[in-house]
Amino acid sequence: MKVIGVHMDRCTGCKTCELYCGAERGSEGKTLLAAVQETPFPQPRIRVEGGPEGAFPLQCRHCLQAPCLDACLTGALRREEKSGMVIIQEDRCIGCWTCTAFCPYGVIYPSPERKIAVKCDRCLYMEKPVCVDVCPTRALEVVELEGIEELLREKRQKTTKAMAEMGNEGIRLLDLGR
Amino acid sequence: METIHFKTVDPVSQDLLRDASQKGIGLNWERYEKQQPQDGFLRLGLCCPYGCMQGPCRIDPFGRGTQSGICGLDRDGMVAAFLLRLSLQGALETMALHPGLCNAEIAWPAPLASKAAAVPGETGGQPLSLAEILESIRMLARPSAAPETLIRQAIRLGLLGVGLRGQAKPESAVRGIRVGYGLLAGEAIRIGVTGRIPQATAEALLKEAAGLKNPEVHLVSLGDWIPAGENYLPIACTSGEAETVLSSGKLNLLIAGDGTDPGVLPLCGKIKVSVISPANNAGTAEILKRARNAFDRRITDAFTPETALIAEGRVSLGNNNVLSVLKNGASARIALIGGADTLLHSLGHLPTELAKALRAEDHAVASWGDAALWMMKQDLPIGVLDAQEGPPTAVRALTEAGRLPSLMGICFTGLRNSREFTLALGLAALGLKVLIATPLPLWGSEKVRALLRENLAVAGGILAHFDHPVRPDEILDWFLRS
Repeated sequence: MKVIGVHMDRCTGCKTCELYCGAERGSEGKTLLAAVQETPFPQPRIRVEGGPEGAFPLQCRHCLQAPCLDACLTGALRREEKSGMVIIQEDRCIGCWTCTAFCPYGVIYPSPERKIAVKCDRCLYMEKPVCVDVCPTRALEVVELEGIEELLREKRQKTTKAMAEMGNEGIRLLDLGR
Repeated sequence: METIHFKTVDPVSQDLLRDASQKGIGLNWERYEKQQPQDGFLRLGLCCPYGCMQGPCRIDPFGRGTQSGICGLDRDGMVAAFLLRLSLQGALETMALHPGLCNAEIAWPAPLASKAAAVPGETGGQPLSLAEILESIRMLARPSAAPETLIRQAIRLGLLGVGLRGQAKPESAVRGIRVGYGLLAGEAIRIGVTGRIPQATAEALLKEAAGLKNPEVHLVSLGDWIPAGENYLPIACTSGEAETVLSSGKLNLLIAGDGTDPGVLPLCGKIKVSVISPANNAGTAEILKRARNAFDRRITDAFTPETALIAEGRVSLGNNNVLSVLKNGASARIALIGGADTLLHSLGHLPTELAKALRAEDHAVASWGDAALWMMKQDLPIGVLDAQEGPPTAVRALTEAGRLPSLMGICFTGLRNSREFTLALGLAALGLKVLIATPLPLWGSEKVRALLRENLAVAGGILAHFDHPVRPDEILDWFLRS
C-alpha cells in the first residue's frame, strides 16, 4: 500500500499543494486561473496547517482501522481492494457528513453545494498525486507502506550516529518530554 | 526529448536543444520545467505587494481560508495594488530609458489628446504629469486607497509610459537588420552580445573588426536590438534562444551588457566561453585579443548552420516609413503583433501563425521585438518596427495620417518587462484594442478585472487577457470579431 509521506523539515507552508489540488481535483477547468472563476469554489483535499514554528500538509491517512468507514451510513465510503485506499462513491453519498465528524484528522470535508463529502483518494487514477507532483520543496513523497521499515531503520541509525558523535560517558535518555 | 518540438518551431533550435540535452547542458527550458507549477498566489495577484514585512499576506483564492491580510486588505485591494505596482515599475523603466524626457510636457496628436484626457478627466484627477509617479508611490506606501483609485492610477501611469515614448524622435528614419542562424555559418571569430551595450562600444568594435581577415571577426547579438551606425548589430537568434545558441559553442567570447539574464553567466562558465562586461571598460583591442585567443583554443564542433539562414529587413523608425509598411494593397486593415519570447508558448509559434492568418484575412501586419525576428526568419512579408518604440511610433504615425481607425488591434505575444506591460495598458487607455497573450496576475479578483475593463472603456479601449496561454486561433478570433 502506498501513502503520502511528509518531510516535515522541508515544508515551508506555501500551500502550493492546496491550490493545485483544488484546481486539478476540484474544478472543471483544471487550471488554477480557470478554477478561481468557478462557482462553487473548488475544494482542495489537502490542507496545510501550522504556524511560524512549522507547517504540515494534511490529507486522508487512509487509516487501516478507519473510523469513517464505520461511520458511513450508506456505504459510500469503502476501501478499494487493490490499492487499500479509502475512497468515496459520490453517487451513494447523501451529504450527512457523519464521516467528517468521525475523522480523527479533520480531513474529510463537507461540500454543501454538491451535497456530498470530499476527501483525498491519493489521486488513485493518476500517475502521481497532484500535491506530491507540485510541491516545490519535495516535502511530499509517495511511500510504500511496506518499505516503511527501511525508513524507520534509517531514522534509528541517524539517531544512533548523532548520539555516538556526542561521545559523552554515562547513561543517556532520549528527550521524550519536549 | 520527445517534447522538443513543443519548445520551438525552429528546426535548427530543436537540433541545438537536443544537443544541449545530450551534453547535459541545462538551459532556460530546463529551469522553466523545474519551476512548474509557479506560485499560485502570485499568479493570481493574491500575494500582498505592500512592504510592511509582516507577511507576505496571502488570500485564499477558493474562499474558505483567510480573506484579508493582517492589516485588513481584501483580495480586490491586493490585486489592484499588484497592478499599480507593475504599472509603476513600467513607468519608471520607461523614464530610465528616456532620462532626457522626464520633464518634457507630453503632447498628444488629435484625436489621442481627447482620449488621453478622458481617463484623468473621468477620474477627476490632475492633468497627467510626472507627479503621477509620486502619487503612485504614496498610494503604495500603505494600503489605504480603494481598488477603484488604484486601477485609475495604474491607467494614468500607462498613459505616462506611452507619452514618454512618444516624445522620442528617432534620428534616422530607417535602419537595417539581419537575423538568423546563418550568421553563425563558416569559420570566423564570433563575439556575442547580450543585454544593452553602449552604441559607441558596438560601433568601435565593428570598425576595428572590419579590417580583420583570416579569420574575419563577427559581432552578433543574441536577441537584443543594438543600434550600430546605419544598422542594428546582426541578430543570431531571438532572446528566448540566446542560451540555446550559446550552448552551440559557436561563440568565442560574450559581451554581457546591462540586462543580461543571470542564467547566461553560469552557462558560459560551464561551456568555457569567456565573458566581458562593458562595465570592465575593456578596450576594443583587448576584447578582440581575448576573442582571438579563445578562437585559437576552440574545439571544432558539429554545429554547421546553412549560410542561407539569414533574413534581411529594414526597420521603420520615422513616421513616413512606418506608414509605408502599414499598407497592404487596397486593404485598410492593420494588425500590430509583437513582443518578447515567452516559454509559455512554443517559441515562434504565436507570431508566425498569427502573421500568416492575418495576412490571409487581408491585414497589413507590422511587428517588433522577438516576434518580428520570428516573422523575418520565416520570410513573412511584414513591416518591422523598432523593438523599444514600435507600437507607440506606429500609433502616432497612424493618428497623424488620420488612419487610426484602420488599426484593428495590437497584440503583445509576450512581455519582457514591466515597461511593456505599462505600454500595453497605456495604449488601451488611448482607446485602442490591445491583447496580452500571457496571463496577468489579475485573476484573483473579478472586481479588479471589471474595474479595469470599465475604466478603459471610457476612451473606447480594450485590454484583453486570458486565464491561460492563449492560442493563435483565439487571438485571430479576437482580431476579426471583437
